Amino acid sequence: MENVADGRKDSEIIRLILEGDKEIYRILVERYNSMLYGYALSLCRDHDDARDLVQTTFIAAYNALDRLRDGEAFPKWLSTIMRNNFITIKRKKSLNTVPLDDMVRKGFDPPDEKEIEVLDEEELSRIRNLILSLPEKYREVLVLRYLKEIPYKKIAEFLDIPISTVNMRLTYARKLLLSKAREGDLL
Amino acid sequence: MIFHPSLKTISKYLDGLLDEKKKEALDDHLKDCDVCRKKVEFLNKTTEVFQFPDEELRQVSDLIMDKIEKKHAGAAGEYIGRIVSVTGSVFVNNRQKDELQSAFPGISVYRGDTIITADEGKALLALDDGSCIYINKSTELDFSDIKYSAVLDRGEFFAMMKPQKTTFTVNTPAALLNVVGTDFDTVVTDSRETILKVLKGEVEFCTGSHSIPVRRRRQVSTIINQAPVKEKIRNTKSVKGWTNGMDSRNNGGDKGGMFKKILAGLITVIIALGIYYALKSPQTRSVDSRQPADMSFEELYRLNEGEYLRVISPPFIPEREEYYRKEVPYQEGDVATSIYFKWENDQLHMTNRMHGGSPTIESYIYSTTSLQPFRIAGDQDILAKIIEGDFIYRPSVNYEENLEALGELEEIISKAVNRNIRLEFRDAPIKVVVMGDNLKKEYTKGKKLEINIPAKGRQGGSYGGSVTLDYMAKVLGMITGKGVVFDAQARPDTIIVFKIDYHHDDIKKDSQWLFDEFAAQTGLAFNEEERTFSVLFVEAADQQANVQ
Repeated sequence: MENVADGRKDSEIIRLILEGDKEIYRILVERYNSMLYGYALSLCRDHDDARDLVQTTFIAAYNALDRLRDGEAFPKWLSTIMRNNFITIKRKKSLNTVPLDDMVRKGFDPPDEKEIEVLDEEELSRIRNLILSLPEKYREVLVLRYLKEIPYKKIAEFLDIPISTVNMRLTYARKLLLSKAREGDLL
Repeated sequence: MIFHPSLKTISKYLDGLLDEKKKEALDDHLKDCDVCRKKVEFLNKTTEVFQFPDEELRQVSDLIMDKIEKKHAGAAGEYIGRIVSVTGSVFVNNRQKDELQSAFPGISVYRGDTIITADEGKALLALDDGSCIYINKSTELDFSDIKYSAVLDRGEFFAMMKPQKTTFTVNTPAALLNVVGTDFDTVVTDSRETILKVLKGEVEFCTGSHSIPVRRRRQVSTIINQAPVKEKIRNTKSVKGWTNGMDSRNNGGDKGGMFKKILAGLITVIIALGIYYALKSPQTRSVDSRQPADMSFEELYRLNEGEYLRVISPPFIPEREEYYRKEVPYQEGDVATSIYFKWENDQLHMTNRMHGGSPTIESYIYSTTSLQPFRIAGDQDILAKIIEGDFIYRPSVNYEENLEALGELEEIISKAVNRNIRLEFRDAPIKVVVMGDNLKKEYTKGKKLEINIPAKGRQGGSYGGSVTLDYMAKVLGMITGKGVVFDAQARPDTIIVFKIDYHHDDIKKDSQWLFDEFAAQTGLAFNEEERTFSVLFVEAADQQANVQ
C-alpha cells in the first residue's frame, strides 16, 4: 500500500509511538486507511458513515494503543475495533438499515428514503447496491479488493482468515454478483 | 464445442493473478465469446463503483492526525481518566480549545474537559485513581482546572470514589460538596435544585449559610438561597437504577479488563451527584402543569413513570425541529406534521412520521398499541376523526390486560373527539387472511427465506427488514390494510428477509397480487377465513349504553 515505503514493521512503529513519537502514527494511518475504509464501507454501506467510522476507529485505536500486546496484530485489531464501534453505532442509530419499528404504516412516508433514492439512480449505483447487498462475508472481501486492489494476503491478515478463503469468497462473491445482475437485468 | 473458462479463472484474471500463458488464452477466448466477455465486462464495471481517490484518503489521515495532535496539546492539562462506556450521544468539550468531540469508549479526559451527555446519552468515566463516575443523560460535568474538583451545571452523576487523599469537591448552582470517601449521588434539577444522596460514607453539603454533614442513606436538597432540606432515602436501589448495564456495555478495545480491576478496588466510596427532573417527583405527573411552551424538549417529549401515552399538541416548541433535523438529516423540506415516538428504556426513539397531515384515530390506535388494524372496530365516524400532534407511546403494552393504559387511551381519544368515548375489548368474528404452512421444502429450519417483491404498477413505498414469519403476517396486514394472521402450526421462528415495493393507495384497492407473489416465492398459502378475535371497540359512551 501507499506507505509501505516506510519499511518499518507495525510493531516497531507502535513501540516508538508509545515511547513518545506520536507523529509517526501517521504511517500506520496511511498504511491501513484504505483497507479500513473498504471495510467500513462494507459495514455501513454509506460513504460518509464509512468515513466517520474510519476516523473513530483510528482514534480509538490510538487511545488504546498501550493495550495492544502483539504489534503485528495491529490490522486485525483495527478491524475488531471497527466492528465493535460499528455495532455500537448501529445499535444506537441503525445506520442505513431499517429497524422494524420504523416500517411504513398506513399513510406514512416510507422511513428509508435512502433506499428508494438508490433505486432511481443510474446503473453504477445499482451495481454498487448489488455489491452492498451481498452477504457480509462476500461483501467485505470484494469491497476490500476493489477499493485499492489490496492483495489477497493483506485481506487475509486483516480479516484473520486464510488466503485460500479470501480466494474462494472472491470467486463466490463474483458468482453471486453475476446471478444477481441477471435477475436485475443488468447483464 | 466451446469450453468456457470457470469463474475461478475469470476471478483470477480480473485480479491479475493468471500466468501469462493462461491470460493470453483467456484473452483469445474473450474475443470470440460474447457470454464470457459480457461477464468480464460486467465484473470490470463492478470494480469502478468504489473509487476512493488518494486525495480524499490523505484528507482523512490529516483529520485523524489533527485530532490526535490536538489531544496531546490538551494533555498539558492533566490526565483525569478514560471514558469506558458510552450510550447514546456523549461529547467531550475542551473549553480552552473550544473543541467538541464525540466521546467513544477509550477516549481520555483531561483537566479542563467537560463531559456532556445528550438527552439519550450516558457515560461511565474511570478516573486514574480507580474511582468511577456514572454520568446520566442531559448532564454537563465540568472537570475544571482546579485539581480534585468538578462542576455540575445540570444533570446527574453517580460516583463511586476511592478514598481521596485530598477532598474532592463538587460545585453545583446551589451548593458545594466536599467528599472525602463516600458513595453518593447528586442531582441538579431543572429548577436549579441540587439533590445530594449519600449511599455510603459522608459528604459535606455546604450552601452560603449552612454546612451539613450528610451520611449514608440520607439525602439533602436545596435551591439557591433556601435552607437545605434533609430526608431519609427510602429506596436506595432507585438512586442508581439508571446506571444498570452501563459497565457491561461494549468497552471498545478494553474487553472489560481495566474495568474489572477498577471495580475490584472499589469498596469504599460511592458518590451520586445529579441535577435532574424525574427524581424530584417520581409519582406526580403534574410536573407538566406549566405551559408546554415553557418546557424543554426533554421534559415535554418523554413519558414519566406510570405514564403510557402522551400527546403533544401543536403549536410545537422550536427544539422539535432541531431534534428532527438531527434525526433525519437526509430529509429535506418541511418538518413532519406529526411524529410518533416510542419511549423505551427511558429513551425517546422516533418511529414514524407523517408529512402534511395528521393520523386518524384508528391509525393512532394501531400505531401506539400495536394492535393490528383488523382488531379495531366500532363507530367509524369516531375512528375516522383526526388527531393532531406528536405522539409518545410505550411499546409492548398489552392494552387488553392493562386497564390503566387503556384508560389513558380512552382519555386521549375522548379529548381528541371532544366526546366521552368508551374502549372495550370484546370477542367478534372477523374475516381474515390466514397465512398457512406450506413452506417450500428447501427452507429447512434455520435457513433464511429471502423474498423480494417488486411493485405492480407504480411504486410509492418500500418495506423491508428481517422478521419472523409470525411478524411477517402483521407486516402484510399493515401493507394491505387486511387482517392477516399466521397459522401457528407453521414454524413461526423462520426468519424471512424481505423487501416489498408497492404504492400505498393501489395496494389498498388490489392486494391479491401481493399475496399471490408471496405465495409463489415461499410456498405459503393464503386463505380467507372467519375467525374469532378479541377486538377493541371504540364507541361513544352514550351510544354503547343504548346498545346494551
